[in-house]
Amino acid sequence: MQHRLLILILGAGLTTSITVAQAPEPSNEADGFVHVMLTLESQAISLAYEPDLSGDERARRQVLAGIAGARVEVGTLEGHRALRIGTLATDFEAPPPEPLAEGIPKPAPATHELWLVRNAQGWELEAQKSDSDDVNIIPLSHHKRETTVQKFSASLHSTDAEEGRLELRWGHHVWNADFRFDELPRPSRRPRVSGLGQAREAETDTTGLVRRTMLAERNETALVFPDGRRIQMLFWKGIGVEGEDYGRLSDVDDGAVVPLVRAPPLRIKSDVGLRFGATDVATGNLAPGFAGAYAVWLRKTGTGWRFVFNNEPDSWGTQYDPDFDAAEIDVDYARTGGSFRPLGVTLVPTGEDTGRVVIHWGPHEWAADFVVAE
Amino acid sequence: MVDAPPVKQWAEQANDGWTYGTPDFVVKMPEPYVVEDDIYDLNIQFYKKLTEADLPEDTWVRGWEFRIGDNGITHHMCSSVFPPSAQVHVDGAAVEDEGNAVTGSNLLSCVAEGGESGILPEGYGVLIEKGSMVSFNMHYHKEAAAGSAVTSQAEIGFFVSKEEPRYKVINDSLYNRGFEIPPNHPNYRIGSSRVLEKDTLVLTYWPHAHTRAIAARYTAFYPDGTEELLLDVPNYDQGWQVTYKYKEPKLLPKGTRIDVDFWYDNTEERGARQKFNSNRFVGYGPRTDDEMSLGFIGYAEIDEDLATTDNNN
Repeated sequence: MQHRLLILILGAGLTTSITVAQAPEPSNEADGFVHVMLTLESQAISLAYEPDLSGDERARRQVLAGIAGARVEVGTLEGHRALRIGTLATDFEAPPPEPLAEGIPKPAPATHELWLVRNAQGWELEAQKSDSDDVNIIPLSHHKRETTVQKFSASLHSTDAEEGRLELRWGHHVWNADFRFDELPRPSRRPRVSGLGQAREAETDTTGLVRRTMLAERNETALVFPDGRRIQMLFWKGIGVEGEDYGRLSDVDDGAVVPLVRAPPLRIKSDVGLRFGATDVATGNLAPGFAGAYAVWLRKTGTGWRFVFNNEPDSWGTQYDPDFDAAEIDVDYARTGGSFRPLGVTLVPTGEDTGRVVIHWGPHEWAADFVVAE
Repeated sequence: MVDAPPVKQWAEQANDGWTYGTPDFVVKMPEPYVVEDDIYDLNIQFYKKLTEADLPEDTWVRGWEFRIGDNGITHHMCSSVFPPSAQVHVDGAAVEDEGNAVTGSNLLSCVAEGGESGILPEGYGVLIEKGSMVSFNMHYHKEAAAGSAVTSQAEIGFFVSKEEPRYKVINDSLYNRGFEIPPNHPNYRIGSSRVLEKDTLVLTYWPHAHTRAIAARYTAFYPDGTEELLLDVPNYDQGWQVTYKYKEPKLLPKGTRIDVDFWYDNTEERGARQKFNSNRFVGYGPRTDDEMSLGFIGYAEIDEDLATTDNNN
């Protein structure tokens, strides 16, 4: 009886603490899909898929068995009009869109339904435009790996200033396709006109303008869960392997973080708490009840590396202050191919509520797995 | 027994109100502009093309003064000079922004509430090419109410340099525009930085932010490992923004890193005083209710053949 009473009291306490530690509102609307997104030079590509691919079970088995002629719908692809992937490319004959006045929503980018197809020649994605019969082909490179993943997943990796790689994983299979954003014809030159301006009310939603300004300086990778909760990471544009910042990477002292003179540190914002091993990176670190926001620094420790999550996400890359450290975790480090990749980040979904943060710079790659903690 | 000092003569009583004497030429907004009753916050651009009568030849100026008029609603006025080669948009998205002049243009400076212009030291100037266009980047902010309409016609008085100056002055800013100030945070830092590529003579600093800003600081980190506090504004006030000027230009050697920090108070208490919503993330935006983090610097770069590695601490 006393034991039950204690449980009730503890239960009441837990309820209270849950009420106090209010979870952040999701940044996106819940649509039941996992979204992976990458924005390079303000040009976005995103892929959405069901966490459990529904549809024809037989077709799925045939695809996983690699039977020629097998095909299954895996998700949808959206991209900026400059996106070129496979035969899916910009219509260069189309006139460039006129700049839109603030507050007028941009037309939604074209959505393509993606079908994973095994044919006699190999693997490809068929990209069928939602509102037409147009079908584009995205050839896929393919390899098998020893470990298997039960559920389909996708990720978008930056490989250069305006180039990247789409990766799909399912069963033993890994498929890849490169993409890039082409330079579009410039709009005609227009004279400056006096008296053009923008009036705003106190209630005017300037979220879109703030986001455009942010993406004028930074690239973005994001992962959105089916319930609309989002993890976003931002990385400064153009931090390549020729600059002085990259040069400092090899000289960083043991125990020190990698400074950046030309950029702020990487920035993460998350609607969900993240658990790396036994270390929690919580929401509400700067504002209770709101998304968590941290700078992510790289710390060298002997032959290894660590991620440092710091409570000053908008400091500059020269301004690391250990007094604001919130959490620190060991990470996997590897030297890989892709020697010329600028500094970038990928959020890789690995399961229903798990993922991997991968930071890359030239041949260096640092990675850590996380579990959604809330 | 001493003589009484001469009676102070205020600018309003002399030189038609111009602080630094009668300008050599004045450029005005093309027409008076009425900021109507229903306007709360308005960013708007005006351009004045300089005619042969305004400016018959390429001219070096040694200073300028902005007059926004006594309207009480001008959050800021920025002005750039566009030489003939930069008078059309490079692309449709190229819009002059506060503190970020469009490529090819030359930002003169900005003034905000409490701000000021000035005369450059001897030997410093800005070239205005014949046929240039002068921009008036205006930000008006007021309560939208019946009877609140105000007419604005800002003007710039230019003071011509008698000879070609030794140093060409550049005005621009260090910035970090990807920030988000957290809701209800009392002391949030935003940083930016720049490494000087040439020996540089610094003339002015103008830290610019909005109503949440409470402090600003510029710090130099010299190539020899030493550092120096260049400017400390521990009680920043958006309504009383000052352009800080050196009596003698400050030499910063090539390789010096300048860090600029701003701190912000986004609490409910300050929000009640300054009329902003503290219960949201706030990013870089043009409204007074949004925020900025711009560390303006007025400076001149020294050509390599005049370079030195000393700094005049």
